[in-house]
Amino acid sequence: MAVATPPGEGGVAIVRLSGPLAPMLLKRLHGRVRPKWESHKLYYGPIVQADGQVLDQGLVTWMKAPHSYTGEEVAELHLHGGQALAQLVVQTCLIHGARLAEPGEFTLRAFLNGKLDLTQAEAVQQLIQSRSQIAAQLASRNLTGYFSSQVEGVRQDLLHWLSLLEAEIDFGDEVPGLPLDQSLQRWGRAYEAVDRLLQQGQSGKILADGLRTVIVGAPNAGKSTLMNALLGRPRALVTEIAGTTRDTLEEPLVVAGVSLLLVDTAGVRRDSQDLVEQMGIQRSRQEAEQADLLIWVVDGHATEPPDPDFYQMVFERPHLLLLNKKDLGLAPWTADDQGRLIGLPISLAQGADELWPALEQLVRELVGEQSDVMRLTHRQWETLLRARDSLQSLGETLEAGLSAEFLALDLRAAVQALGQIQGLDVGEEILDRIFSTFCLGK
Amino acid sequence: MEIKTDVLVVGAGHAGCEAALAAARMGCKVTILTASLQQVARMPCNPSIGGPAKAHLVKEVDALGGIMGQAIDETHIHIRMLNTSKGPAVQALRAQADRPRYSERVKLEVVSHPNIQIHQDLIQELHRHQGEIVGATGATGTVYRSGATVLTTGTFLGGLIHMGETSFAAGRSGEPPALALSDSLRACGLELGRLKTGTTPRLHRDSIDWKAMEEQTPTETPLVFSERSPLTLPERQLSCYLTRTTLATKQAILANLHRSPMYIGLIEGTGPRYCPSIEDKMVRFGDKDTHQIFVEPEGFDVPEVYLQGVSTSLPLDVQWDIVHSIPGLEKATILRPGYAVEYDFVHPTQLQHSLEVTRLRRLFLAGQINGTSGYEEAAAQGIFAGINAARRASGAETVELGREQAYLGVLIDDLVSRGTSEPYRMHTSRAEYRLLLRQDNADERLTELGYQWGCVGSSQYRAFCDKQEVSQREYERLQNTRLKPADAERATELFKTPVKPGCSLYELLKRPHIELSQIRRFEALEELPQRILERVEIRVKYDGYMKRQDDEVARARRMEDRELPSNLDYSALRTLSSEAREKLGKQRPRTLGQAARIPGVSPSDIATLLVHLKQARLCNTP
Repeated sequence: MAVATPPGEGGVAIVRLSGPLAPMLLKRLHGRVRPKWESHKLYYGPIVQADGQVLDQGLVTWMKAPHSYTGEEVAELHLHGGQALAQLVVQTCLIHGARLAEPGEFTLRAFLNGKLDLTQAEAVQQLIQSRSQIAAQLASRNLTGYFSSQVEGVRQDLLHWLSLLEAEIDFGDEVPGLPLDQSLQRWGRAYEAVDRLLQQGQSGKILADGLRTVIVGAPNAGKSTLMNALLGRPRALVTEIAGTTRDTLEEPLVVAGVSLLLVDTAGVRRDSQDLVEQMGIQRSRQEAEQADLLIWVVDGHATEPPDPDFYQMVFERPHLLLLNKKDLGLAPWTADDQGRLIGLPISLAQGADELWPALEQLVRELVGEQSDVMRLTHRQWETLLRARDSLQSLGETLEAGLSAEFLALDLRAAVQALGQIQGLDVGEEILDRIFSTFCLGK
Repeated sequence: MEIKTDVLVVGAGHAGCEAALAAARMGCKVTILTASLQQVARMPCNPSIGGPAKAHLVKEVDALGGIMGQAIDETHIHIRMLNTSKGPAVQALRAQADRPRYSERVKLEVVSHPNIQIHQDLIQELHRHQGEIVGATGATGTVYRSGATVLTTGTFLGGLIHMGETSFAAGRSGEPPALALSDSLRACGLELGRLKTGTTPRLHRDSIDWKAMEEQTPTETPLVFSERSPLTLPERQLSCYLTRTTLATKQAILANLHRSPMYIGLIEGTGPRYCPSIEDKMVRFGDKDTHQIFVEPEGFDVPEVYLQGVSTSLPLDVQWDIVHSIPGLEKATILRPGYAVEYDFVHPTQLQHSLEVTRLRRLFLAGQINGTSGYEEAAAQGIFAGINAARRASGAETVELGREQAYLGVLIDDLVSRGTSEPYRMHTSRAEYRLLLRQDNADERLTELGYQWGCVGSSQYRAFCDKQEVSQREYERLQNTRLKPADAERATELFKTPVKPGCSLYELLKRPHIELSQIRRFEALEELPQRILERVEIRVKYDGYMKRQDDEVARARRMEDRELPSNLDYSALRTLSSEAREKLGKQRPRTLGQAARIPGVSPSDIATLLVHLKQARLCNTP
């Protein structure tokens, strides 16, 4: 038994009971004797305590097993909102012998009773935990089995390939082996598909959790000015003195419909003597390494190009390079050999308007096509990664020119991983496929 | 008359002979009953032994001291290795037997064993006493009293032969069926099912135009199944031939489907998917115009030739038309027609992993009675049933084999956990640890166990230990020997691949296309026996893949080690699906791993069981 509505003041509070005793409890709580109870019908009447005292007037309903969310007998009491009242009803239920549900227990029971598959059950958990509207939308897409069907598509392709390999092994006399170019084609298709699913999951994560956008650069390059310009209000302390920002600052921002968590960091320079500043620099590096998106601000007017150590870290990640202080004239190193600028010229002191289109485009690229975005659970993500690792190793086995049984080892692992997302077994399925595809037998 | 014996074996086919010989080697007094003394270890269908997964079973039987490998090594007319383009795990030997000589060879082994008595008799009734089978009565009126009984009835149990519109009760062409035994098994509470299998017409050797077909030549290098056979090339071998069906074949069959007992519903048993009749092939794969046919001699001095791929129960006149429509067989004479046979089997989910019947102690089943097909599958179950019957008769606990130990373990677990609805044949794809269950290491997997159980003799065991010791020494030597600069230079030149000084021989052997024998020649060392070279080479070259499978075994162990309480009341677990409740309650799997393999038990049922086990543990800890 649990209160099924969120805590706080609301119009209605619902107490839900699940299990074989739910209908009996419901009759005790409902203060009116009814000769007949019908499933899935609302009844109005008093709700009473164990001693018969009336607590509230409300609606009650009973859902007969297995036609309920959990697949068990379910009873619901719809009360007037308010924590105190709901708690009183809960206490009454406890007196009657009910037990408080563990978090997620109703969903667990629904899964155990076969009402939801694993992916759907996980989606429900996500839906409940969603903080933003977009996260909720993504979770509900999972609930309808969008992700399952995508995974199943890839799994079926791999299973077909596996059945070809198994036929080649067990019926070598009758079934010719698959030519290498065809194997490579199949491999490429599967790898891309799994990779795409991971990508879509990545986009989903971004949409639901937001992009961690870290602003980095040398001291006094204009990082804090940028932060303030983006936010449209002063948030960071801006001074002429290099090294003013010693700790990181975090602020939310919405770009192209995606929420960004903007992180301003201490400037990174190699020769700082100040201990506090050194610690700040250390944190900046850590921040940069965990970023989904980096904005690197450099002083384009400076005579020296920025720290080359920093190049690599930035260029390995999605990033935007800003050549600040263009109004003062850009130094020669800001252009490459062909005379093209290596970043976006800007003058942050005069505003960040020129920055918006570039930032929006980058965010859109990162999120990808919103129509195929998915929100994956940790388990789904891990299992997909395992499938991709198996496919990676399959690619190596193919390259090494090893024979069908070795390919089958990796392929089976990939099929298994994809099957685990939905909870399926492979054994008999492969034989079924072999015998429905080939005319075999002596 | 009354005969007392330790182990009673009913049937003298491949399962019965291995069961009797294993129990006899273990020191038991064995009595074999056969419907006909002239028909021991016969091959009523395909005259060949081996092939993928089947050869693996033969090797396992051999590793446990069985006769099948030695017998076929001594009596084949053609042997070759299949899947030679693939790795060691799926390469498989296949031999064409000299049919009469093979049977004679096995029969000699059986009748000359001092612990074995063989009688011609048909079992009518099993004797049950307090849930145990303690003996049987034969058609001769003889009463047999036994410590354990092994039934290997083949296609004789309720056997019914179909040929066109005619059908008659028989176990095999020209032999009587065992009809009363089915009733006796049912009376003991066992559930029986019905299966079907078929065989092909046999042709006269001299009526075939051999030149019109594609020749398949046997091996030119020595190949043997048994570790105990000398590795030599046979003096004489015969070729097999390949031809194909034509459009005329298809027409002849489709025009006569209404006369096929399969298609007019005379046959109720389920046939094997992997061995469809020719009429099945034409109907199910109507888009294919031609099918391969293998033409195989049945012996050096045998006129019959086997027509692999033409299993049929069509009437005889249609069989003539079919044969004559095939290139090379236009003028062929049919000596024996093809036919289909239906027979009873015991649903194997009623067995333990020891092959003992769950509710009838001391009764063991092996071979086609368990729903399998194939000589190798039968022999493998036979030897294991024999081992366990001998243990039961002498008061020892029965033993089991895991899926990671042997194809035999996979076979038995599939049967016992999953059951079967068609004649079950072994495929390598059924073994999830295929790379570990190879032909070449069957002895490593089983011979030590066999020696402990008493079914492996001391000379076989000593030879095995010697082989292991020499292999291990060579393996360590390869790891510990590093190349000096001059040798590395010489090796670079010889193997045409850059070799650095300090490189170990082990690392060198790991590279593709370098063989151990080459390395030993390079070192000017004398050659080691072929079997040892092979063992060491495989161990080095496929090391990484073996380790991966070892990890998988370890992972699966977690499920296999989770024991389900034997008193668990599944009917009380309302969260299980009703199908799972029923199947789990009936089969009572010993572990969660076994439960997961039962069809109808879904992953969410397993999740429920896991939750239940966890709760039960919580309740039991104070």
